[in-house]
Amino acid sequence: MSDYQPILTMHAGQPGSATRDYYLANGGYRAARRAVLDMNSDDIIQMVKYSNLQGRGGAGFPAGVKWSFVPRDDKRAKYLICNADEGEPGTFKDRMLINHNPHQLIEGMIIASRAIDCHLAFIYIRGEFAKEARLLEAAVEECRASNILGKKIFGGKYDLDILVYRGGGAYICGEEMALIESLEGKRGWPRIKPPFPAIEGYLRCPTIVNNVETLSNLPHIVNNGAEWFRGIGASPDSPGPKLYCLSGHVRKPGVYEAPMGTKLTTLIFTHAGGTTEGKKLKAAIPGGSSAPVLTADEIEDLKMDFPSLTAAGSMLGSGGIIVMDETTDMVQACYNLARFYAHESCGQCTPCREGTTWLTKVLRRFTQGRGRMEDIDLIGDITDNIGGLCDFSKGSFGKTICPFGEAVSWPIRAFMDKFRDEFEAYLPKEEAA
Amino acid sequence: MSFAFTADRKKRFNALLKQYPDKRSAALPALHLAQDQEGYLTTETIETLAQMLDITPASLMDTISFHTLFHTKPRGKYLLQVCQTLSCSLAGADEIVDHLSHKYQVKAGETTPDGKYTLLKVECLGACDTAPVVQINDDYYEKVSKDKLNRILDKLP
Amino acid sequence: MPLLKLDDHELEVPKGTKILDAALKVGIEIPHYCYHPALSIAGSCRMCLVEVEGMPKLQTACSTPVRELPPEKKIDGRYDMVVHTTTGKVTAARKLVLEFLLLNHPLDCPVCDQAGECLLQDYSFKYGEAHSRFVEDKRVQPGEELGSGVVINLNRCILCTRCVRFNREITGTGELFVENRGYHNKIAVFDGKPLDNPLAGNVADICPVGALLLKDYIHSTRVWHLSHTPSVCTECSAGCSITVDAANDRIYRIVSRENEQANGHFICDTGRYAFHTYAEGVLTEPLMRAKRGWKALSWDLAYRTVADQIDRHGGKGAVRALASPTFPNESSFLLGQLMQRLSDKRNVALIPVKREADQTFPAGFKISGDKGGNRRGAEDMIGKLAAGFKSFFKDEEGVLLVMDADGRAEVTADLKGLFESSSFKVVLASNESNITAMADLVLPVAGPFEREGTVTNDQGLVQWLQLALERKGQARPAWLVLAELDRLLTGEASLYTCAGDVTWKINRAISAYSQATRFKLGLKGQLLTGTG
Ligand SMILES: Cc1cc2nc3c(=O)[nH]c(=O)nc-3n(C[C@H](O)[C@H](O)[C@H](O)COP(=O)(O)O)c2cc1C
Ligand code: SF4
Ligand code: FES
Ligand code: FES
Repeated sequence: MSDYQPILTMHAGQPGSATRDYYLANGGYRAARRAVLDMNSDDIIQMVKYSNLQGRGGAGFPAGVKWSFVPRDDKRAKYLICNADEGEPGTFKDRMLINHNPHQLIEGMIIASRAIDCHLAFIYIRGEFAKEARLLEAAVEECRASNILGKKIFGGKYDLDILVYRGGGAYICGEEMALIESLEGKRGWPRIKPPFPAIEGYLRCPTIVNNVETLSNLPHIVNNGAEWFRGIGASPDSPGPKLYCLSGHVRKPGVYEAPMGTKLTTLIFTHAGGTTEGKKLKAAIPGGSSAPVLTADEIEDLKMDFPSLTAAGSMLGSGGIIVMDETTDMVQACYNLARFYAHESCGQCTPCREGTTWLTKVLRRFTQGRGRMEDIDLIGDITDNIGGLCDFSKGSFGKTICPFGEAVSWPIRAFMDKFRDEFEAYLPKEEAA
Repeated sequence: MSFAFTADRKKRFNALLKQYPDKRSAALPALHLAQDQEGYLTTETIETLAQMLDITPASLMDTISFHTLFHTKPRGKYLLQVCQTLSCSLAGADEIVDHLSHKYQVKAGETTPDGKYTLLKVECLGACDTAPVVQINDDYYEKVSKDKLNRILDKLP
Repeated sequence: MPLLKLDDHELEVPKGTKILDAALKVGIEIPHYCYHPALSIAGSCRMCLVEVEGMPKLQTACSTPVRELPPEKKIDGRYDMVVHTTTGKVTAARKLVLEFLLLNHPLDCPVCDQAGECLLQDYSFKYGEAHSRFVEDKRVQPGEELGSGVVINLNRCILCTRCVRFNREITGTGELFVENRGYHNKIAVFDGKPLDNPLAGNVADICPVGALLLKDYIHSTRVWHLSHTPSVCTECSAGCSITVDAANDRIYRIVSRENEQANGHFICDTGRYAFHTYAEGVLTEPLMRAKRGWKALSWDLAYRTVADQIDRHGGKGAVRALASPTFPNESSFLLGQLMQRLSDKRNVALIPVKREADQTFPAGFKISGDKGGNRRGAEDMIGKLAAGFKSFFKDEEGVLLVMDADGRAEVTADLKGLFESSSFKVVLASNESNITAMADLVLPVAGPFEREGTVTNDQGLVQWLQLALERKGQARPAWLVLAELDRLLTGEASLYTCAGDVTWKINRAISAYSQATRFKLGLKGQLLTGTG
């Protein structure tokens, strides 16, 4: 492995790393103190903008730019929400960050809150993470007890509290607008954008939603400077440390921290120890299940950062890498994902509600050996009709309120296009002839 | 069958109302609190909670029925939630489901007649590196095999 | 104001106007389901997708506002926004949304009550594809009763959520909700909390497909057999615009008729179902009280009886009359005129009608507590009165001429006293009521849906009440009965051959009504001069 020193996960595995005292003893909360006492909102936003920190929740939107959309001199309260819904199949980095270093996240939240002048922030954590929610609550409690959260924190003039909010089991609640609805106690039906949450979010107030990993980067940026951050990884346009989640057919599945732009093959074969039993690599999903699958050939030399993956016709997304070796049945895998999306569609938009289940039913028929030749085109059509034509170079063409429509269409379509022979092999003899 | 929070939970509920900027936002925490106490959410529980949150029971039910972690029907003492999404499936989750199904003679979605186990197939639990994953009530059991799972289940009270 | 190019139309609309609203204005049809002008925007059915120049994705016309561009950025140097509603991309998208919507639809139009007025049927015909590529099992769900006489056929529901939003935003009662998630979404009510509010029936009107239906209408007829008469509800003083759907001289249902100045988009259930009550106890011939029960008599004889009784009991000067706040202006006006000619005393008042508290709903819809639907008009016709009639109706003998209030008259002590002191009581009514029960002579007149004329609501909006049904038996319009009585009692020839003639007279006689001409009323009515 390279000489890269982990930043976000440097304390992972250390006994007591989740406690305030451990964190403080290792230089924790220096950045937050500085942000609260010595920096103003503009300073922080400028710094983070310059750092080119891109959101780690999936879309890769520059965090500082997003913050700058929050209206100034607006009487409404401002809210920060940490998105810890982590539901994208193949993704498990936020859980790891929370388990090993909840205070790093809280510190990041203090910095972001300060930047947007928020006094009440939330951590929306997926409901299944009950243990992690308790851990976060304990961490918040520790902070309240030591003036890190609460009134006039760090002895300054700034008030901030954080509430830990357990979701109720819904992948779509990771989508920021659905998340906000759910936080308001409603069903997680994404709202139409615009208005974007930065203008009208939680309780119709300006709201910033950021991923756990995005926020966890902030203390390091404040401590070491934006220039330092831009120097990490292959390109200053898409820099920083990145947590890559490796699962599926690899020898050592897990979360690996590496500089942004690390090669996918390095991650699979060096970090994760190669495929299980050394079988031949068939394909990998590079950025959570919504990212179109890449074949072994496409993976050669592929750098894992936002621009490189977009250029390769997929996306970095959440950094969840699902590795599939030669034994993988791609039709089953495709069906598995279709079923996931059908289960998770919020049901608001006609194409997504009806289309995801239709796809699942057709694919199930396929796996049962009852496919028809025309179904192959039909699957392509249905995905187009939910998510719009798959043409990455031209941006997103979805026909739905939220990007879930694209998130289901693109990967299914990629499976179909890239492994068409496997689908055809599933056809009953009469059909295949 | 009326519902009331225990004294301790009542305190926590009141604290929630104080913490959140509006009442309705306390809905999910309140539902977790109530379900934790009662096992599942009865019509009466929902009506009482709705009243406490100043919304209609219909409106609360709307929220409840959207989120899969809330149950409005009795369920087993142990909720065996087997992840079936891709990474777990690649790691043999289907066999785990078959095993449990056989072991307790229930299909996914069903509860054993003694009310002890409910078997559920669920979607990605966000722990794919330790696939296959089974969540039993609130706790994750990771990298499970049939044998490991048997040992875990046998130790449950 | 931004300049919008919408297909071949150019129009200026205020910034922020939704594309769909702009299209409706110029008469371009953009198919839509979840959009309803009175409800918040859902943007979820995805039927209204249109192409906006400069935006790669198709946009939902219902939710996309017309923007304003700085001068240097205008498209073609002039437009702020250029929208296409018929391009290949758009028509393809519509087709696909329809395909999705029809996947699980039972395609049971031949037995569906919505057939003929179903937006799914209409749009499929216009924009859809003839064949479905769906060969999987359909989602089948049982029908359910939701309460307040509304039933749901879940298989036909397209989850536009109009009904849910209606009950949240308009009535504020929120009985309906979406249950479950995704493909299993369904409209439901909470256990033991059925749909229960005075506006509930509207959900059947706003449902774009045949999912929500009224129990009293299901399987009763086919919509293409119905005549649709634009009329006005007189059950309370709000004066809602309605459409009366009838066939074979029977009303099948009443639905709301949009009128921004009156009811907006909705009506209340009292008005919606009132027609059922008027189908009972219908009076079809003049009736004279006999030793036992009633004796039928001819109109001639009935009129002569009235004249005789007047002569016998104190003469013309002793006649007293009660006009009705539920009848059209024309009858009250003629009654007022007649009474002026009979005597120069104050001799006409209004029959007392129930008044309750107004009911106002969160979005502003009001059910007036005043059940005298045309009180304002009646008062305008006979002259506004101080409270009651006790002050000028002395307990003395004489003939009493009464117009009933369609079963809503309140028998107060005063009214009872008046009836008791009067020597002979003539009642003009369409149905048996608490007032006909006290009459000596009953003259059958046209019922609420058989009347023509003007009515004035409590906001001063005058609307035309259109005849939707034929009168029953020998019943005559009240204005005609009064005109005929006038001729008999005064000996002067009648000027009127139809209700419109009386309206014309009112336009001349009462200045506030000078603009409320039959011609100007149209379908939406006309505010009284000096109001609004
Ligand atoms: C269907 C869907 C699911 C999503 N799930 C998550 C999630 O679990 N966690 C997350 O951080 N972002 C998720 N997102 C992205 C969020 O909408 C949002 O962009 C993100 O939280 C912003 O944070 P960032 O800018 O720090 O990345 C999801 C988006 C979609 C469309
Ligand atoms: S695209 Fe799917 S998940 Fe997103 S709002 Fe529409 S129906 Fe819901
Ligand atoms: S796939 Fe099972 S935990 Fe993610
Ligand atoms: S009418 Fe526009 S999305 Fe439904």
